[in-house]
Amino acid sequence: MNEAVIASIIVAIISIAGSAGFWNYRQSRRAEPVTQRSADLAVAHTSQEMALAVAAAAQAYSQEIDRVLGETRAELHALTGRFTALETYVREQEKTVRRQAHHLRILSEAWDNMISSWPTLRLGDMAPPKPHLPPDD
Amino acid sequence: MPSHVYKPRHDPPTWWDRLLVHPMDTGVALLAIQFAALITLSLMVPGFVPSRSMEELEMWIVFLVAASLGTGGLLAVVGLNWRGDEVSHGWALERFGWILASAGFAAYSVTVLTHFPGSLFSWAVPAALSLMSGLRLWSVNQIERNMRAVIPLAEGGNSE
Repeated sequence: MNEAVIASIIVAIISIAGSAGFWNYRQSRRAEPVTQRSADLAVAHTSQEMALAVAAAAQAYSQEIDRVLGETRAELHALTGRFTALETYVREQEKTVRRQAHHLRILSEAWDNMISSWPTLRLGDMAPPKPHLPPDD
Repeated sequence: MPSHVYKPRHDPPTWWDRLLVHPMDTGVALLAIQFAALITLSLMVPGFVPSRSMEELEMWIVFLVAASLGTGGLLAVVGLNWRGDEVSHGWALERFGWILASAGFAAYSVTVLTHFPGSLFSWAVPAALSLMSGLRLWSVNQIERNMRAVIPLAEGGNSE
């Protein structure tokens, strides 16, 4: 690359930049000036907007949390009610099972008695009496 | 982001505060002025050759690059530290400065690249400086644009 080409490139870069820069400078000076006060106001405004946005987001989030909490409490209440009902049912069932086990024991004992006293019983006319099964403990 | 931007503790800010807010920008601008000063010195002092690639060029080209870098750096520093009430004037000066500095660094990088393409660092660093100047130029442009967009809202809200 010879010196003339390099020179032309350099002149081109600098003259384009120089004229563009100068033209831009003139344009800026013609535009409405921005004072220190306006700049400070703008910065404060932006900060204020940001703070308000953060506060609004926090409030929306807090409302969402309240809603979810309310729903969760309602679900929990419903579940507690069902649980209480189930507990009562299980207790009833337990009573029934206990009574039936007791009856089975009575009958089993009676049968054992029958087996052990069979030599005597088979000589009799009447069948042995049915053992008494108590209705509710 | 606020945790990465230096906040001056004095009002009005001292020169040290101002430097610490824009250390890299000020540094590049001062470097541009230094480059220009050294190049100008090399034109005046016969034995002084700070840049071998610049020696190869004609005097008026060298002067043009020096002028671009020097003026650009100076305007950028002045714009960065603008104290007047009219902040937009500071922005305008800074932008003009950075475009000249960017062009100056780019021209210098081209010079080194064409004469010593193997010397990678020697032309890559000015090229990077040119890019950095361009980025700061764009940044100042955006600062102004965003500010001008928000000001009507800020002032409109306050007039209630």
